[in-house]
Order: sequence, then structure tokens, then C-alpha cells
Amino acid sequence: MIKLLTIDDSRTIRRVISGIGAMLGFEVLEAENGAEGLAVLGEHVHEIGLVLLDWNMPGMNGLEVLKSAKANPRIRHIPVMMVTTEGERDYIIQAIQAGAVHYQTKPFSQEEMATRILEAMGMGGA
Amino acid sequence: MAISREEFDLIRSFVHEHSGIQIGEGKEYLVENRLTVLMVQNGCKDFIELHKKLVADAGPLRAKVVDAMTTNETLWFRDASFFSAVSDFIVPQLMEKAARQPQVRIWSAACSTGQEPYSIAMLLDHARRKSRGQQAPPLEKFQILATDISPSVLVIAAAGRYNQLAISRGMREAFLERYFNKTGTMAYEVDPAIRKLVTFQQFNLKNSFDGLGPFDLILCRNVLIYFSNELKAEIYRKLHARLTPDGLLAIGASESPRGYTSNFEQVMVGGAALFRPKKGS
Amino acid sequence: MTEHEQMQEQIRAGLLEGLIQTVIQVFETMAWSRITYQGEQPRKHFVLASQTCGLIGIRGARDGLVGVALDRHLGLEIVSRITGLPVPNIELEDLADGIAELANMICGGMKAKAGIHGLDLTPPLAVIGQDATVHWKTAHPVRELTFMLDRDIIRVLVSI
Repeated sequence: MIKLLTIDDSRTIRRVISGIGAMLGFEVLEAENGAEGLAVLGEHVHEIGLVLLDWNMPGMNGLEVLKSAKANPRIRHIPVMMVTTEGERDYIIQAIQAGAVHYQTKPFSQEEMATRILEAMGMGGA
Repeated sequence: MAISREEFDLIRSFVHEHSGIQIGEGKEYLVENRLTVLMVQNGCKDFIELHKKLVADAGPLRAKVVDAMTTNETLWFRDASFFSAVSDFIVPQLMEKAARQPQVRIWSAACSTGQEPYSIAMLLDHARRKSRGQQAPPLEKFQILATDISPSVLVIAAAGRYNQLAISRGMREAFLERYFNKTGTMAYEVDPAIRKLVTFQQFNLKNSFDGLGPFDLILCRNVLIYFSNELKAEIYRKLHARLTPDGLLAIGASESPRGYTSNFEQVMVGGAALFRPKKGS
Repeated sequence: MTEHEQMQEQIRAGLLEGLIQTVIQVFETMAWSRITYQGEQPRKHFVLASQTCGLIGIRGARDGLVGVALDRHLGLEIVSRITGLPVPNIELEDLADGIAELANMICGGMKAKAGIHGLDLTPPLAVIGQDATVHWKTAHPVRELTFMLDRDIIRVLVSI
């Protein structure tokens, strides 16, 4: 079964994303900071189909986590979507240039997030 | 950098031209939020460049932009008074029709993630069960066509799988028990018998309706509010042409075909206003 | 007004407008709740006297503070609508995190809508309690924006 990984310091957001994953038929793994997220990613490298990554977190920020994941040959192939309150164009450009496949700003509706996840995984239909 | 007026207007007119949908004033953030990724991924430095690309290339980028701009929220039995009219009056009428004619066709014209067509399918089955199956027509007599412009929402709709949050937005306890199966991943799946009644298909309301229907009931609720007046008139005309002479059109509580066409007359069904083709129109 | 003051005033107006739009948007998209903006009033002090508060500081091109305050029952209801958790199952940590995240999304959206460079947000702070009063010294005048959800009031205090 394909799994998603949400890396977010907010349990509210992790719970919302887990619910959306369930709707799409995916199990969702959770990590509450970047270091933990990278560890989970390394451990479940063959199961995780998409990482949903917050930007502002204590410790490593999302961009640092993204760069670290992309620099690691074992996990660099796993697509990453940023999920963050940072909605400015410069942030989006930085993330895409660092290797994120998609970018979803908070707040989001369930439908919006669900369709973005499908798109990021190449299952969106469009 | 926030989106400029020029960029906003260019994208707005593109989306309108290709989907019929009007992005309202003050919705700059929606364009910025949903399209910046596509802009960057396609090597554009701003929305003006993205617009140029969209105009020059009719490829998948166009579909992606339209898809990104047309995701809408939805819920079960949206609008309680409308759905009580459906269960108390419209479904019984459709049952009678199904006893007389080979097929009863229903169209949910902007179904998003599928709650509306599944709600209707559940009400049809519920009515059959209430009549204890005596003279009730078989479910196979009903066909529900559910369309949306966004292919992504249709992937979710066709799967028929919902989470606790989606269920909490309007699903009735008794219906949850009867018509859903709980899956291992904390989700609820619509019963296969209900799912079988609904056919999902990507469809743009701007396109020709030839070959669709005719329908005994069309649900096009809270959809045309996003279209220009010109397109509203055209779509009302096309909807009229695809209804059976005694068919019913359901639109949003704040909507009316008046001012766009004189081919419909209003009928009060329970507490809800619906529209049917005027005799001889 | 000097050129600097004019620019500061422009930033402030942009942020306030973005804030009102974002509060409505956050409740609508995340919590499935249509709230209405009732208006604003000047306040002498930045005092949040409610059972559920979320606070965020703003630093950089403009310093400021934004706080969201609601009654506990409404806070629980909103967190329930966001997460799908039934109200009786919401623990204190869920409530605190939910309100903090609400404040976070509101400030993030405000920043994005205003399109102003060089603004940093502090991590959100949640205050939950029966008789909590949060009083904050601020550099700028304080305004209270009021929103309604059915018959419940949502107060957003802003000093910017």
C-alpha cells in the first residue's frame, strides 16, 4: 500500500492530512519535525509515495528538509509537496527550484488538498 | 511579489474563455495560490509569460490550469429544504415514472467529489425499501450521470471513499450505516449497489449537450453563478432542450432562469422552487 | 507625512485588508463555517479576555501583533469542524494546537495577500483557560475586528 508522510509541527494539520489520505485510500505516516521526518523517510523509503512538508517548523525548516532529502540519493526520488502558510511567490519559486513537485498553501479545503495530492502523484487525470 | 492587475485580468479572461467560469473581483489570491506552481514549473517568470504559453499551446497545460481553478467544495444533502423536497416529492414521482417508462435519467451537472449524485442514489434506494419492494421498480431503471469539469475531483468521486470529516458534513446517521462500508484506513466507502447507479464523466458545460439525456431531473445547483450572463442564457437553453417535457431542473436557492430564458416555469415542490419546461416551449 | 510614514501607512492598510479577507477564508475553507465581518473598533490596550486565544507576533518591515479570541465552546466546535474529531474527543492539546494553527494560517494568509516582503511571523502561542487575560505591550494602536458565526463572536485584535 502506498503511504504518504506528513511532516508538520501542528497536530491539527497532521490530522487533517491523515483524513484526506484515508479518503484517497492511503495510509499516512506522521512526523512533527524535519529530523524525525527524514528518519521516517529513510525507514519507509519503498512505501512512501509523497511527502507533505510544512515550511515553518522548530529546528530544520521545510526548505532545509527538502534540500536535505534531495541531496540524499536513497530518498531523492520521492516527490515532495510543500504545505505551508507561506504563500508568496518567492517562496513557491524557491521550493520548486529546490525540487518540490507541488505547493499547497494553508488554508485549504479538503477537496483542494485531495486533488493536489493526486496531481503531485501523477494520478490527477488532467 | 503579489499578482498584478494585468496578470490577474489575463488569467481571468483565459479561464473564462476555456471553462466559462468567471473568477470574481478580489480573488487574486486564488489565482496566485493555485497557479504559481504551474507558472514556475513551466519556466515562466510571471503570469504574463504563463498566459502567453497558454494561448500558444493547446496541450495539457490548459487542462491543468482549468482543473486548478475549478475545484469546489461540496457536502451531502446540500441544502436541507431542497433534499427534503427531493425525498418527499421528487423521488416518489421518479418512482412512478420508473414504473411507466423503461429508464429514468438524472444528471448531476457539477458533481465535484460526488456527494450530490450519491445522495440522490441513496434516496432512491431508501424509497424503494420503504415501499417494501412491493411495486417498487428495480434500481437498474435509474441512471445517474454525474459530471464535472475537473478530472481530479472525478477521480475522488468515482472512488466513492470519504473520511470522517467529509461524512460529518451532512451525512445522516441512518444512511451512513446503511450505505457505507468502513474501510481499514478510517474511511467509509459507498456501497457498491449505490455506486453502480452513478456514471462519472468529465464534462464542460460550455460544450454541446448533444447526445446527453433526455433527463427526468437535472441538478445544476450553485454552478451557473460562476458563469457570465451570456453563458448562463446559453446553458439554460441547453438544459431546457435536454429535459423531458415533465422533467425538473433544480438550481441553487438564490438562482433563477428568469432574465435569461422564458422557457421555464417555476414549480414549488415541498418548500423548494424547481423549474420545468413551459408547455409548448 | 514623510515618505517613510506614507510607506508604513500603505503597508498597514494592506495588511489590515488582507487580514479581514483571510479570517473569512480560513474559517470557510478549513472549518466549513461562513463568518461575517461586523466592523472594527479602536482599543486602548491589547487585551484578550476570552477562553481560547491564539497569538502571533510580526517582525520585520513592520512590527505587530495579531490575536484571535473565541469562547471555549466555539473553539471546540471550530477544531471539530477542522479535524472531524467529535467535540467530546477533543483534548486540551488538540484545542491549543488548533487555535494556534488558526492564528498561524490567518497571519500567513494576511502576509501573502498583502504581498509585503520581509515580514517574519513568530511561532503561534495558544492561551486556553477559564479566566485567562492576555495583555501585551504594543508599539502601534490596537484595533478589534469583530466577526460573527451564527450568534457567536470571533474577535481579532491587531496592532500593526
